Amino acid sequence: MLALADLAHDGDDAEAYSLQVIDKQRQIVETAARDDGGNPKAAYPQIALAPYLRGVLREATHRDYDDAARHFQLVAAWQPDFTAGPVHVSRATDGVHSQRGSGVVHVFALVGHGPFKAAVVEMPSSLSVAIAGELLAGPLGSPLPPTIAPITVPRVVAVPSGVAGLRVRTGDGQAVGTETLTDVSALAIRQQEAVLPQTVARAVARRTLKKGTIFGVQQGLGLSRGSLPAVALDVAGVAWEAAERADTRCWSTLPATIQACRLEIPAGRHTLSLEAVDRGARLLGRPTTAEIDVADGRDTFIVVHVPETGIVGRPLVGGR
Amino acid sequence: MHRRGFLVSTVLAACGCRTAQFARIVQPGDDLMIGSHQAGQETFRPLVQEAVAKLLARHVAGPVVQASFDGEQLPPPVKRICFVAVENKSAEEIGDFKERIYEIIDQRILESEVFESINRRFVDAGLRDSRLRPDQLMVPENRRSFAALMEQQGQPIDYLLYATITSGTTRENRDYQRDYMLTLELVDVNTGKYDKQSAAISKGYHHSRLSRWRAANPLAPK
Repeated sequence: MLALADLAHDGDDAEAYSLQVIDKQRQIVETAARDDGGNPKAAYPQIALAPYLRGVLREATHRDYDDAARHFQLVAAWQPDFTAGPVHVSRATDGVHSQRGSGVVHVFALVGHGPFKAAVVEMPSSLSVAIAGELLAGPLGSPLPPTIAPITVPRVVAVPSGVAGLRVRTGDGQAVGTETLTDVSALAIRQQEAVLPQTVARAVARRTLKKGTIFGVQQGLGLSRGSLPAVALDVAGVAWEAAERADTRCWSTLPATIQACRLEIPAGRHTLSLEAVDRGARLLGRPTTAEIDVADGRDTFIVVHVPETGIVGRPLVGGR
Repeated sequence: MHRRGFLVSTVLAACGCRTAQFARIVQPGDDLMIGSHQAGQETFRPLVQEAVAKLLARHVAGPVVQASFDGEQLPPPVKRICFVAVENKSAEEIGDFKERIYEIIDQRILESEVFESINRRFVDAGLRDSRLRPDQLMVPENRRSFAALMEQQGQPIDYLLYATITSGTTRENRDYQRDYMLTLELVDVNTGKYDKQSAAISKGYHHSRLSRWRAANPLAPK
């Protein structure tokens, strides 16, 4: 998002941001590697927006086509539904950025509302109970049977969206639709599914540890079952367990999808018409326009926010 | 996780250290970091130094061949190099190192006084205006038109310079060795003749400290 915001201004830092995103994704997966060679985050889908931006920026140098092709290949592999991916790969491999006298316009649309986290009651699976057993065996040094009562954990919930994307019209009648480059909702759900057994296991382990702690204190103090202090400790234990809450904090301003399209148009001043459309290609809300100056051989970037019922605010326009 | 490890990580987490990051200024002579998963400064720095030094050494001006009217010997004309691009054809994404390699090579050439390097901004403008890919400059007609364009910009060129990074990987169970090579190609704009200079370095990547020790210690059991 920082990279997109930067492109809508001078774009000086966009390249650094796109590099950092790619690096961060790698770090996230690497840090989850377990000693047994497994890695629950290895199944994480990758964010194709980062290599796409990197490819776009490298191609705009008119020199680093090898980098551009490499990154567009990642886009094509990570987001096969993005039909423009192979076209970008082909152009970066054998073609040129644009024809003489033309420039390129990249339109990025932030479409729909992003997913959110909700607390749901989950029945621990056998896998989660096994992981919880391992978690407990470490610090305690001896196995402690985890409880298998339902627990509350956060789950990612996608917000259904009526808007399908953006249609971009040029002055000469050319119309291009944006395509999904990164499905934020699907990514979040799949990432959460990948680590759900661990999330549930940690919740189970925490609760078992709390129970074990109360039990240990009662044993240590030699309290007889049913005595007033023991009952008081039980009540405290119940309150302690009840204090457990699912962590539903999340980034609430994310879009559901990040979409993009590329247009090559003659250098000069242009007025682009931007239209939000639904899944039946029907217009949603009022179209808006963007005044842009396309420079020969250079890139112009437009960022549009389409949350639900149409385009909101003015399109952000920047160039490099 | 062992009990001690659990306690340490718990204490660190409680102190809020997990999200903190620390930095230091690396002074000359300090130990430099070595990339554990891919090539870093430990690979590219010697590659660039060796390849550029060899290339420059080969092109250091020979005996002076020209004399002025009064018999004074004049230095030979400085050759003008257009450093076109660094191409990464290795198995790794080199990220921000690509720009750094370009800048270091460009700087070394400029300092050598063997060649005169064209400012990168002119090169970029020339590629953009001509809409020629770096690899298309190998076609004689394209090369001539690019040279003519650069001359129009007031930047005549004698040579094109390309730097290419390649790699080869050899696997041994969970360890692997990667051989990196940096090749500098100098192409005469007028004749198309080229000179080539390479530097290579091999790096082993190991899955454990023991594996690294065994590979580095000649007495260790193989």
